[in-house]
Amino acid sequence: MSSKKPNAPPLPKAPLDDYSSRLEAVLNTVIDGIITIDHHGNIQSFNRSAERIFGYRPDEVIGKNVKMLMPDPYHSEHDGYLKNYQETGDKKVIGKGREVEAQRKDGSIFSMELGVNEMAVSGEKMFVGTIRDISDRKQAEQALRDNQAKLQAIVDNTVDGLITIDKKGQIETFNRACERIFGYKASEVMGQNVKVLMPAPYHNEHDGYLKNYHDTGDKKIIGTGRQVEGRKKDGSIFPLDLSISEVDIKGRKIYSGIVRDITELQEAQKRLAAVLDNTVDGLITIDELGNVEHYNKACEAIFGYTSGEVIGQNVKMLMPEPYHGEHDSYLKNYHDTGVKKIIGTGREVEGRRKDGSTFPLDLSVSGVNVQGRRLYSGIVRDISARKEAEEKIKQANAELEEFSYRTSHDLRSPLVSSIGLLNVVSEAIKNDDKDIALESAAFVQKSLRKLEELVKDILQLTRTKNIPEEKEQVDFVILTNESINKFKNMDNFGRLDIQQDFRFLGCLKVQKSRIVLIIENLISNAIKYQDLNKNHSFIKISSYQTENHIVLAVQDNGLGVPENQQDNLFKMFKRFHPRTSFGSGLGLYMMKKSADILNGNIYYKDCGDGSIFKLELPLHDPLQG
Amino acid sequence: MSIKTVMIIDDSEMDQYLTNYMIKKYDADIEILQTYDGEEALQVLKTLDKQPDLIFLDINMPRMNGHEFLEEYDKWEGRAEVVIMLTSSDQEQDKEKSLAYQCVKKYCVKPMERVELESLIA
Repeated sequence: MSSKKPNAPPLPKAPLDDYSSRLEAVLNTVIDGIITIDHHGNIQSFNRSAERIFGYRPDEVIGKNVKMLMPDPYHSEHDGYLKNYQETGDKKVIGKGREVEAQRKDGSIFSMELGVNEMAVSGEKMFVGTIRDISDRKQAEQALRDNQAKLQAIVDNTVDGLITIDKKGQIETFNRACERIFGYKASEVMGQNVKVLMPAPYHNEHDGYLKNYHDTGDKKIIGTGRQVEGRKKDGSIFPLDLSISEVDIKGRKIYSGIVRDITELQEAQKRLAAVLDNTVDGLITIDELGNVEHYNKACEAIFGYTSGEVIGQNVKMLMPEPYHGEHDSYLKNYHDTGVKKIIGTGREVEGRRKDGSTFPLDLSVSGVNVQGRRLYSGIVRDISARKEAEEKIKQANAELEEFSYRTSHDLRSPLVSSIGLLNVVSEAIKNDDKDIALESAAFVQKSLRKLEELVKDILQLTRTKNIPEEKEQVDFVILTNESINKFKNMDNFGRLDIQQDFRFLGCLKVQKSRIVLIIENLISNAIKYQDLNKNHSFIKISSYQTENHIVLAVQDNGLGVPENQQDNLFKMFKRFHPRTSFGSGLGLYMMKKSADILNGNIYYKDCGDGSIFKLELPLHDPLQG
Repeated sequence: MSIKTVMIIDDSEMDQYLTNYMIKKYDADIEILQTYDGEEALQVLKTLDKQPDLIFLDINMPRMNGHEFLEEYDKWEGRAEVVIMLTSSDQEQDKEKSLAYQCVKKYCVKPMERVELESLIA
C-alpha cells in the first residue's frame, strides 16, 4: 500500500496506480473492517469499515499501537502476544478466527470476530486483521438465550409435568415437575424410551400405540385427556392424568405430554364417594330429563334395584302411579315456569320397589349446577316403619280411649248400685223389714263380687299386653285336663258332657300363660253358655295338625253368638247374653290378644246348633311327646 | 195423669231390683215390667195392648244397648210418650245422643234420687 503525499496534485494515472486504486477501492467498500499492523503492533492501515466499526478516523490511529482498540485484558497482553509469536512462531490466533472484545472511540466495548493473517511486504512482516462487529449477532444470541431461559423457567416451574418424546418414544425433554412426579432426574431418563415410566399393560403396549398411530393416523389419546397409570422410580404405581399433543418441528414429529399425578384427587373422590355411598338415606342424582346419574348404596337397600339396573334409566321407574306417569311433566313444568313445587322442600310421596310393592317415602330435592349442566339431587328416606309406628300409636290410643270409657262405666255401675242398695238395707232395718234387708244385702254382695271379677280381669288384661314371657314346652292334653278340673265347681258343670279328641299329642314351645288363658276361657265359656233347654249339652275339645299349624278346637251345642253380633265377637266389653252373662265382657278380647302374642289366630264359627272356637298356632318346633 | 205402668230396661239385676223397690215404695199399685236388654224390651213391647206410661232405659246393655233400642223404638207409632234415661254414664256425648231422640224426656244419672223418681211418677 502506498501512502499519499497530502495536497499533492494528482499524478497522471499509471497502470500500477490504477491497480492500487482499485485495490484501495475494494478495501474501502468491504463490509468487514481491515486493519494492518507491523510487527510492533503499530497500525499501518485502517479501512473505511474499521473507521465505522471503531469510530476513529484513520489519522487518529495510524502509527499508533493497535492495542488502543482493545480493552483489558487484551490491551495489556497484546504486546506479549506479538513478542511470543516472534519468539516461538506459535500461531495462536493467526490463521484462525476468534471472538474477542474491542473498544470503540467512545469507550464502549463490543464483541467482534477477528481473523488474523500474516504477510510479508518488501521483506517486512505485517499482520492483517479482518474484523467483524458481531454485537448485533451477539445481542440476538443473547436475546435467544434469554428467551430460551425464560421458556425453560416456565417449563421448569409448571406444576404439571411436561414430557416430550420423539416418534420412537424416546424422551427428549423431562421438566422439573416430571422429576418430582416420577422420582427420576431428567438426566436419568433422557434418551430412554418413555415406556420406562409406565407400568403394565401400557409398558408393553406403548410401542404398539405409537406404531398404530403412525400407520393409521387414528388419534386415540392425542388431543384428548385420559386417566392412565404411571410408574415411579421406586416402582410404585399411581393414577395419572395424561394429555398428549402432536408437534411438528421443521418436518420432525414430536409428541408433547402433560402429566398430572391425580392420586390425591382420586383419594378425595373415593372418600366422597364412600361418604355418599354410606349415608343411611338414599341419594339419587338425575339430569334434566330425569335420567339417573348417581344412585348410592342406601338406594339399593331401599328400592331393591342395584345401581347397574337404575343408572341411565329414567327415575320414574322408581315411582308408582300417579307419579310415574306425571314425572316427565313435572320436570318440563319446572323448566318452563321455574316454579318450584318440591325443589327445596321435603314431601311425602310413594316409591316403588323392584318387587312391585309400594311404600311411603320422604323425599327432598335440590337443584345443582355442575359444569354448566343442571342436575337434581334427591334424598330419599323409607318411612314405612315410621308410618307403621304412627298407625300403631293411633290404634293404641283409640283402644285406650275406648277402654277408659268402658271401664269407667263398668267399674262405676256395681259401685253405684251397691250404694243405692245399702240405702235400702238401712231403711229396711229401720222399718224392721228383715227380708228386704237380707235380700238387698245379698244383691250388694253379688254386685261387689262382680266388681272384683272385673278388676281382676282388667289387671290380667294389662298383663296380657305388656309382659314378655319365656316360651316353654306345653302339652295341650295336660293343660286341658287341668282347666276342666279348675271349673268343676261351676254351675251346671255336672250336666255337661265333656269329650276329648286329641290328634296332636306333642308339645309346642309357647308362652304357657297365654295358652292357659285361652283354654280356660274357652272351656269356662262352654260351661257358662250351655243351652239349658237341651237335654244333652256337650263340649268337644280336639286338636290336630295341618301343614303349617297346630289347631285346638272347642265345640259346643250351647247358646252360641247371635248372628248380627259375630263381627263384634272379640271386641272389648262385649257380652252377648243378658241374664246369663256374668262375665266382664273382656274374656274374648283377652283371648284374641293372647292369640296375637302367640303369633296365632282365633276363629269363631257358628255351627247352627252351637259354636266352634278354633285356635290356630304356627308349627315351629313341635316335639313329639 | 198418674202413672199406671212402668217398664225398666236394664241389664243389671241389682239396678232392676233397686228401681223396682223405689217405685213400689212410692206406689205399690204401679205395674212394673222388667226387661234386660233392648231386644227383649222390643219383643215385650210388641205384645202389649197399651204401651207403658213410662220407660226407664239404661244405655249399656249387651245384645242391644239403649241407643240401639231408641233407634228402633223412636219410630214406632203409638210408642210410649215418656222415656227416661237411667244410666250410670255421665258422659256428655251419651247425654246428647240420648236427648236427640224425640221420646226421651230426661236424662238421669244413677243413682236416682228418690225425690227425682217421685216427681217423674207423680
